[in-house]
Amino acid sequence: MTRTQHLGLCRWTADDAVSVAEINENFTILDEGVPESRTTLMEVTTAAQSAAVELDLSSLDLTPYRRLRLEMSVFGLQSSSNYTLAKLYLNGDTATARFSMSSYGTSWTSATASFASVTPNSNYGSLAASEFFVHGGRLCISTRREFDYDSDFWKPDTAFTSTYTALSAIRKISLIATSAGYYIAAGAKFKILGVK
Amino acid sequence: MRIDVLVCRPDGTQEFESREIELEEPAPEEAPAG
Repeated sequence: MTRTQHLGLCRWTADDAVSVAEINENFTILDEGVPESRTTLMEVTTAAQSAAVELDLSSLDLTPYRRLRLEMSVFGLQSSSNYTLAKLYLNGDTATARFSMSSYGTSWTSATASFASVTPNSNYGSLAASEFFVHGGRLCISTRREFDYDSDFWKPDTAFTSTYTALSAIRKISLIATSAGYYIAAGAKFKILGVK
Repeated sequence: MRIDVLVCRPDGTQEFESREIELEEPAPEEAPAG
């Protein structure tokens, strides 16, 4: 049994319409199941269509935490199959660290598409979660298959070798579609959690 | 190119900021087996 099945998370097929209520239900289930060492620092539901979303963490005190966790459910990314859809930037457009996310084998052409998958071999689903931490003076990203989404969901890019001495050096996280014509539509939800 | 970035803050505020960002054309990637 996968973690997704164990938790009873909502899952969708390509033909299902995805509702914000179902997204919120998944987040509620996760909130009830997470260890107490996780603290929600920021929760955002985007209200407008955009090619790029930036989470401004500059007012948050990250020093008490060992890891920074990003949970997200994003809908409406448009792409042909097998393309890198969007990139995650830390600390802004100059990309002190950068990761790519990719779609495999499925065309995402409707507003029901998500780039996180809870269904193996499908790119339609609910949540993705990644954690950032500093180890040996380098920023690392964890892509544990906690929600059994597609492997290689985040791919370290060349800037992955950036030097970080503390997690608090992360000031903002940006999710940017990789090409004109792609966008991250309304219905996206992001959560930032601190993990002690 | 210049795009509008939706900036979200912990206090719940959201606003668009116009930024000059270098976008890349997506390149096909090899799909995993299965």
